[in-house]
Amino acid sequence: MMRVLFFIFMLIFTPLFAHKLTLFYTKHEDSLSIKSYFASGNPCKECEVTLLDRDGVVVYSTTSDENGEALIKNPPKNSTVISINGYAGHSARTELPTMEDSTPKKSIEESQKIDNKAVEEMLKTVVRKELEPLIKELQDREEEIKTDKIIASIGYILGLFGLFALIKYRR
Amino acid sequence: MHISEGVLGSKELVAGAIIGVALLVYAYKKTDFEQLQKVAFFSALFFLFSFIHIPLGPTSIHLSGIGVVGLMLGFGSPLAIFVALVLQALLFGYGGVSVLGVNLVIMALPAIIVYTMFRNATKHLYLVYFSVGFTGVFLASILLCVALWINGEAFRHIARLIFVANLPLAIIEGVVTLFLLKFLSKTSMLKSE
Repeated sequence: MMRVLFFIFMLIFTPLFAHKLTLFYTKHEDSLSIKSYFASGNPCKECEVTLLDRDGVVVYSTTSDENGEALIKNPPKNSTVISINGYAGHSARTELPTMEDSTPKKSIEESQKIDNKAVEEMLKTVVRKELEPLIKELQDREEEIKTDKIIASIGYILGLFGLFALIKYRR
Repeated sequence: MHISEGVLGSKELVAGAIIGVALLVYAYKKTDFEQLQKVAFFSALFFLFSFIHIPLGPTSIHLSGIGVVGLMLGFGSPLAIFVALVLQALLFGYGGVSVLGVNLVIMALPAIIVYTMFRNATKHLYLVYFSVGFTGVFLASILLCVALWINGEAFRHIARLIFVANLPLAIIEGVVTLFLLKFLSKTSMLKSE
Protein backbone atom coordinates (compact mmCIF):
# COMPACT_ATOMS: atom_id res chain seq x y z
CA MET A 1 0.00 0.00 0.00
CA MET A 2 2.78 2.41 0.99
CA ARG A 3 4.60 1.55 -2.22
CA VAL A 4 1.52 2.41 -4.27
CA LEU A 5 1.03 5.69 -2.36
CA PHE A 6 4.66 6.62 -2.91
CA PHE A 7 4.51 6.04 -6.64
CA ILE A 8 1.21 7.92 -6.90
CA PHE A 9 2.86 10.83 -5.09
CA MET A 10 5.81 10.77 -7.48
CA LEU A 11 3.50 10.63 -10.49
CA ILE A 12 1.47 13.60 -9.29
CA PHE A 13 4.39 15.88 -8.68
CA THR A 14 6.83 14.83 -11.37
CA PRO A 15 6.61 17.39 -14.18
CA LEU A 16 6.54 15.08 -17.16
CA PHE A 17 3.76 15.75 -19.67
CA ALA A 18 4.42 13.28 -22.48
CA HIS A 19 1.01 13.50 -24.18
CA LYS A 20 0.10 17.10 -23.62
CA LEU A 21 -2.15 18.37 -26.38
CA THR A 22 -1.59 21.87 -27.75
CA LEU A 23 -4.10 23.89 -29.75
CA PHE A 24 -3.59 26.98 -31.90
CA TYR A 25 -6.03 28.95 -33.99
CA THR A 26 -5.88 31.73 -36.55
CA LYS A 27 -8.92 33.88 -37.04
CA HIS A 28 -9.60 35.05 -40.61
CA GLU A 29 -12.36 37.31 -41.84
CA ASP A 30 -14.90 34.56 -42.45
CA SER A 31 -13.13 31.44 -41.27
CA LEU A 32 -11.17 29.92 -38.44
CA SER A 33 -8.15 27.66 -38.98
CA ILE A 34 -7.18 25.37 -36.13
CA LYS A 35 -4.01 23.33 -35.63
CA SER A 36 -3.27 20.88 -32.85
CA TYR A 37 -0.44 18.58 -31.92
CA PHE A 38 0.86 16.49 -29.03
CA ALA A 39 3.97 17.34 -27.00
CA SER A 40 5.83 14.75 -29.07
CA GLY A 41 5.19 16.89 -32.18
CA ASN A 42 2.71 14.43 -33.72
CA PRO A 43 -0.45 16.04 -35.09
CA CYS A 44 -3.78 15.26 -33.44
CA LYS A 45 -5.25 13.34 -36.42
CA GLU A 46 -9.02 13.02 -36.85
CA CYS A 47 -9.67 14.53 -33.45
CA GLU A 48 -13.02 16.03 -32.60
CA VAL A 49 -12.94 19.84 -32.84
CA THR A 50 -15.87 21.69 -31.29
CA LEU A 51 -16.90 25.31 -30.88
CA LEU A 52 -18.79 26.13 -27.71
CA ASP A 53 -20.87 29.16 -26.77
CA ARG A 54 -20.77 31.06 -23.44
CA ASP A 55 -22.92 28.39 -21.76
CA GLY A 56 -20.66 25.56 -22.90
CA VAL A 57 -23.16 24.34 -25.50
CA VAL A 58 -21.64 22.87 -28.66
CA VAL A 59 -22.50 25.17 -31.58
CA TYR A 60 -20.26 23.58 -34.22
CA SER A 61 -18.43 20.29 -34.51
CA THR A 62 -15.94 18.85 -36.99
CA THR A 63 -12.82 16.64 -37.08
CA SER A 64 -9.20 17.51 -37.77
CA ASP A 65 -7.40 16.19 -40.87
CA GLU A 66 -4.21 14.10 -41.17
CA ASN A 67 -2.09 17.15 -40.25
CA GLY A 68 -4.11 17.90 -37.13
CA GLU A 69 -5.70 20.90 -38.86
CA ALA A 70 -9.28 21.99 -39.27
CA LEU A 71 -10.72 24.88 -41.28
CA ILE A 72 -14.10 26.16 -40.16
CA LYS A 73 -15.81 28.43 -42.67
CA ASN A 74 -18.29 30.96 -41.30
CA PRO A 75 -18.03 29.85 -37.68
CA PRO A 76 -21.12 30.63 -35.54
CA LYS A 77 -20.94 34.18 -34.18
CA ASN A 78 -21.70 33.06 -30.63
CA SER A 79 -18.63 30.75 -30.44
CA THR A 80 -16.44 31.61 -27.44
CA VAL A 81 -14.36 28.48 -26.87
CA ILE A 82 -12.50 26.08 -29.17
CA SER A 83 -12.10 22.57 -27.80
CA ILE A 84 -10.25 19.60 -29.24
CA ASN A 85 -10.48 16.06 -27.93
CA GLY A 86 -7.56 13.76 -28.60
CA TYR A 87 -7.08 10.15 -27.76
CA ALA A 88 -7.23 8.60 -24.31
CA GLY A 89 -8.89 11.59 -22.70
CA HIS A 90 -6.31 14.17 -23.83
CA SER A 91 -7.95 17.45 -24.68
CA ALA A 92 -7.16 21.13 -25.08
CA ARG A 93 -9.30 24.21 -25.17
CA THR A 94 -8.78 27.89 -25.70
CA GLU A 95 -10.85 31.03 -25.44
CA LEU A 96 -12.01 32.65 -28.65
CA PRO A 97 -12.72 36.38 -28.83
CA THR A 98 -16.40 36.86 -29.69
CA MET A 99 -16.96 37.17 -33.41
CA GLU A 100 -19.13 40.28 -33.00
CA ASP A 101 -16.31 42.14 -31.25
CA SER A 102 -13.99 41.89 -34.21
CA THR A 103 -15.87 44.36 -36.43
CA PRO A 104 -14.99 47.99 -35.86
CA LYS A 105 -18.07 49.90 -34.78
CA LYS A 106 -16.75 53.37 -34.19
CA SER A 107 -16.62 55.93 -36.92
CA ILE A 108 -13.38 57.57 -37.96
CA GLU A 109 -14.38 60.80 -36.21
CA GLU A 110 -14.97 58.95 -32.98
CA SER A 111 -11.74 57.05 -33.22
CA GLN A 112 -9.81 60.28 -33.69
CA LYS A 113 -11.00 61.37 -30.27
CA ILE A 114 -9.29 58.42 -28.59
CA ASP A 115 -6.32 59.64 -26.64
CA ASN A 116 -2.85 58.19 -26.86
CA LYS A 117 -3.18 56.21 -23.67
CA ALA A 118 -6.23 54.39 -24.96
CA VAL A 119 -4.45 53.61 -28.24
CA GLU A 120 -1.47 52.31 -26.31
CA GLU A 121 -3.71 50.07 -24.20
CA MET A 122 -5.47 48.81 -27.31
CA LEU A 123 -2.18 48.04 -29.02
CA LYS A 124 -0.95 46.21 -25.94
CA THR A 125 -4.10 44.08 -25.89
CA VAL A 126 -3.81 43.24 -29.58
CA VAL A 127 -0.10 42.41 -29.35
CA ARG A 128 -0.70 40.30 -26.24
CA LYS A 129 -3.44 38.37 -28.03
CA GLU A 130 -1.27 37.80 -31.08
CA LEU A 131 1.72 36.73 -29.01
CA GLU A 132 -0.25 34.41 -26.72
CA PRO A 133 -0.04 31.34 -28.98
CA LEU A 134 3.68 31.93 -29.54
CA ILE A 135 4.34 32.26 -25.81
CA LYS A 136 2.37 29.08 -25.19
CA GLU A 137 4.36 27.28 -27.85
CA LEU A 138 7.63 28.47 -26.33
CA GLN A 139 6.52 27.33 -22.87
CA ASP A 140 5.59 23.92 -24.26
CA ARG A 141 8.94 23.61 -26.00
CA GLU A 142 10.69 24.61 -22.79
CA GLU A 143 8.84 21.88 -20.88
CA GLU A 144 9.86 19.34 -23.51
CA ILE A 145 13.51 20.41 -23.34
CA LYS A 146 13.38 20.29 -19.52
CA THR A 147 12.05 16.72 -19.60
CA ASP A 148 14.75 15.71 -22.10
CA LYS A 149 17.43 17.30 -19.92
CA ILE A 150 16.19 15.53 -16.79
CA ILE A 151 16.31 12.16 -18.53
CA ALA A 152 19.74 12.95 -20.00
CA SER A 153 21.00 13.99 -16.56
CA ILE A 154 20.02 10.63 -15.06
CA GLY A 155 22.07 9.05 -17.84
CA TYR A 156 25.03 11.33 -17.04
CA ILE A 157 24.85 10.42 -13.35
CA LEU A 158 24.77 6.68 -14.04
CA GLY A 159 27.55 7.01 -16.63
CA LEU A 160 29.73 9.06 -14.34
CA PHE A 161 29.40 6.65 -11.45
CA GLY A 162 30.00 3.80 -13.87
CA LEU A 163 33.29 5.51 -14.66
CA PHE A 164 34.08 5.87 -10.94
CA ALA A 165 33.29 2.19 -10.48
CA LEU A 166 35.66 1.28 -13.31
CA ILE A 167 38.47 3.35 -11.76
CA LYS A 168 37.85 1.84 -8.32
CA TYR A 169 37.67 -1.68 -9.75
CA ARG A 170 41.00 -1.34 -11.59
CA ARG A 171 42.67 -0.15 -8.39
CA MET B 1 18.34 25.74 -1.07
CA HIS B 2 20.83 26.71 -3.76
CA ILE B 3 22.79 29.96 -3.52
CA SER B 4 22.93 31.61 -6.92
CA GLU B 5 25.95 32.81 -8.82
CA GLY B 6 27.15 36.31 -7.97
CA VAL B 7 25.62 36.49 -4.50
CA LEU B 8 28.59 35.54 -2.34
CA GLY B 9 31.95 37.30 -2.06
CA SER B 10 35.25 35.74 -3.09
CA LYS B 11 36.26 34.86 0.51
CA GLU B 12 33.10 32.82 1.07
CA LEU B 13 33.45 31.16 -2.32
CA VAL B 14 37.07 30.13 -1.71
CA ALA B 15 36.30 28.88 1.81
CA GLY B 16 33.33 26.90 0.49
CA ALA B 17 35.42 25.44 -2.33
CA ILE B 18 38.20 24.31 0.04
CA ILE B 19 35.78 22.65 2.49
CA GLY B 20 33.86 21.20 -0.45
CA VAL B 21 36.97 19.64 -2.00
CA ALA B 22 37.96 18.20 1.38
CA LEU B 23 34.49 16.66 1.78
CA LEU B 24 34.64 15.26 -1.74
CA VAL B 25 38.08 13.68 -1.37
CA TYR B 26 37.08 12.13 1.96
CA ALA B 27 33.81 10.86 0.47
CA TYR B 28 35.59 9.35 -2.53
CA LYS B 29 38.03 7.52 -0.27
CA LYS B 30 35.28 6.28 2.04
CA THR B 31 33.15 4.98 -0.85
CA ASP B 32 34.09 1.47 -1.87
CA PHE B 33 33.36 -0.24 -5.16
CA GLU B 34 30.27 -2.09 -3.89
CA GLN B 35 28.70 1.13 -2.59
CA LEU B 36 29.03 3.08 -5.83
CA GLN B 37 25.79 1.81 -7.37
CA LYS B 38 23.92 2.99 -4.28
CA VAL B 39 25.67 6.38 -4.48
CA ALA B 40 24.66 6.65 -8.15
CA PHE B 41 21.04 5.79 -7.33
CA PHE B 42 20.80 8.35 -4.54
CA SER B 43 22.59 10.96 -6.61
CA ALA B 44 19.88 10.53 -9.25
CA LEU B 45 17.20 10.66 -6.54
CA PHE B 46 18.70 13.84 -5.07
CA PHE B 47 18.79 15.35 -8.56
CA LEU B 48 15.14 14.45 -9.21
CA PHE B 49 13.95 15.70 -5.82
CA SER B 50 14.72 19.27 -6.90
CA PHE B 51 12.11 18.98 -9.63
CA ILE B 52 9.31 17.91 -7.33
CA HIS B 53 7.63 21.24 -6.72
CA ILE B 54 4.98 21.62 -4.07
CA PRO B 55 2.68 24.66 -4.17
CA LEU B 56 2.86 26.70 -0.97
CA GLY B 57 0.76 29.84 -0.85
CA PRO B 58 1.62 32.18 -3.69
CA THR B 59 4.88 30.37 -4.43
CA SER B 60 6.14 26.80 -4.65
CA ILE B 61 8.95 25.00 -2.89
CA HIS B 62 10.95 22.00 -3.97
CA LEU B 63 12.15 19.00 -2.01
CA SER B 64 15.85 18.47 -1.36
CA GLY B 65 16.37 14.84 -0.31
CA ILE B 66 19.31 15.78 1.94
CA GLY B 67 18.18 13.61 4.86
CA VAL B 68 17.52 10.47 2.79
CA VAL B 69 20.80 10.76 0.92
CA GLY B 70 22.66 11.36 4.19
CA LEU B 71 21.12 8.40 6.02
CA MET B 72 21.61 6.02 3.09
CA LEU B 73 25.11 7.04 2.05
CA GLY B 74 26.71 8.44 5.19
CA PHE B 75 30.17 9.84 4.48
CA GLY B 76 29.73 9.02 0.79
CA SER B 77 26.86 11.49 0.44
CA PRO B 78 29.02 14.48 -0.68
CA LEU B 79 29.91 12.51 -3.81
CA ALA B 80 26.25 11.93 -4.72
CA ILE B 81 25.25 15.50 -3.90
CA PHE B 82 28.20 16.99 -5.83
CA VAL B 83 27.41 15.17 -9.08
CA ALA B 84 23.75 16.18 -8.83
CA LEU B 85 24.68 19.80 -8.06
CA VAL B 86 27.05 19.98 -11.03
CA LEU B 87 24.32 18.81 -13.41
CA GLN B 88 21.73 21.10 -11.85
CA ALA B 89 24.11 24.05 -12.25
CA LEU B 90 25.21 23.24 -15.80
CA LEU B 91 21.90 22.14 -17.29
CA PHE B 92 19.26 24.00 -15.31
CA GLY B 93 21.03 27.01 -13.81
CA TYR B 94 20.27 25.99 -10.23
CA GLY B 95 23.05 27.52 -8.15
CA GLY B 96 26.14 27.95 -10.30
CA VAL B 97 29.61 26.63 -11.00
CA SER B 98 31.46 29.17 -8.83
CA VAL B 99 29.18 28.49 -5.83
CA LEU B 100 29.38 24.70 -6.18
CA GLY B 101 31.66 24.42 -3.16
CA VAL B 102 29.43 26.49 -0.89
CA ASN B 103 26.27 24.71 -2.07
CA LEU B 104 27.99 21.37 -1.54
CA VAL B 105 28.92 22.29 2.03
CA ILE B 106 25.39 23.59 2.71
CA MET B 107 23.84 20.28 1.63
CA ALA B 108 26.51 17.65 2.29
CA LEU B 109 27.39 18.61 5.86
CA PRO B 110 23.78 18.26 7.09
CA ALA B 111 23.60 14.92 5.24
CA ILE B 112 26.63 13.65 7.18
CA ILE B 113 25.26 15.03 10.47
CA VAL B 114 21.91 13.30 9.82
CA TYR B 115 23.80 10.05 9.24
CA THR B 116 25.75 10.33 12.50
CA MET B 117 22.61 11.27 14.42
CA PHE B 118 20.22 8.60 13.16
CA ARG B 119 22.29 5.68 11.79
CA ASN B 120 21.85 3.58 14.94
CA ALA B 121 18.25 4.47 15.65
CA THR B 122 16.08 1.41 16.21
CA LYS B 123 13.13 2.74 18.22
CA HIS B 124 10.27 5.06 17.25
CA LEU B 125 11.17 4.57 13.62
CA TYR B 126 8.40 6.76 12.20
CA LEU B 127 9.63 9.67 14.29
CA VAL B 128 13.20 8.92 13.21
CA TYR B 129 12.20 8.82 9.52
CA PHE B 130 10.43 12.16 9.85
CA SER B 131 13.36 13.65 11.76
CA VAL B 132 15.81 12.51 9.07
CA GLY B 133 14.02 14.62 6.44
CA PHE B 134 13.28 17.51 8.78
CA THR B 135 16.80 17.73 10.25
CA GLY B 136 18.45 17.61 6.82
CA VAL B 137 16.55 20.63 5.54
CA PHE B 138 16.66 22.43 8.90
CA LEU B 139 20.46 22.18 9.17
CA ALA B 140 20.92 23.08 5.51
CA SER B 141 18.75 26.17 6.07
CA ILE B 142 20.92 27.19 9.01
CA LEU B 143 24.09 26.79 6.94
CA LEU B 144 22.52 28.69 4.05
CA CYS B 145 21.63 31.54 6.40
CA VAL B 146 25.11 31.51 7.95
CA ALA B 147 26.67 31.80 4.47
CA LEU B 148 24.44 34.76 3.64
CA TRP B 149 24.94 36.30 7.10
CA ILE B 150 28.72 36.18 6.77
CA ASN B 151 28.45 37.67 3.30
CA GLY B 152 27.43 41.07 4.61
CA GLU B 153 24.87 43.29 6.28
CA ALA B 154 22.80 43.56 3.09
CA PHE B 155 22.02 39.85 3.10
CA ARG B 156 21.07 39.47 6.76
CA HIS B 157 17.43 40.38 6.35
CA ILE B 158 17.03 37.97 3.42
CA ALA B 159 18.83 35.27 5.44
CA ARG B 160 16.14 35.54 8.15
CA LEU B 161 13.38 35.40 5.55
CA ILE B 162 14.90 32.35 3.87
CA PHE B 163 15.18 30.56 7.18
CA VAL B 164 11.50 31.16 7.99
CA ALA B 165 10.44 30.18 4.45
CA ASN B 166 12.37 26.91 4.71
CA LEU B 167 10.62 25.78 7.89
CA PRO B 168 7.44 24.56 6.11
CA LEU B 169 9.72 22.84 3.59
CA ALA B 170 11.46 21.03 6.44
CA ILE B 171 8.11 19.70 7.68
CA ILE B 172 7.00 18.63 4.19
CA GLU B 173 10.39 17.04 3.57
CA GLY B 174 10.02 15.20 6.87
CA VAL B 175 6.66 13.75 5.82
CA VAL B 176 7.91 12.75 2.35
CA THR B 177 11.05 11.21 3.88
CA LEU B 178 8.88 9.27 6.34
CA PHE B 179 7.02 7.63 3.45
CA LEU B 180 10.18 7.11 1.40
CA LEU B 181 12.16 5.51 4.23
CA LYS B 182 9.18 3.38 5.24
CA PHE B 183 9.16 2.09 1.67
CA LEU B 184 12.95 1.62 1.63
CA SER B 185 12.83 -0.18 5.00
CA LYS B 186 11.10 -3.05 3.20
CA THR B 187 13.96 -3.34 0.74
CA SER B 188 17.50 -4.52 1.28
CA MET B 189 18.78 -0.94 0.94
CA LEU B 190 17.79 0.25 4.40
CA LYS B 191 18.03 -3.15 6.08
CA SER B 192 21.71 -3.28 5.23
CA GLU B 193 22.32 -0.03 7.09
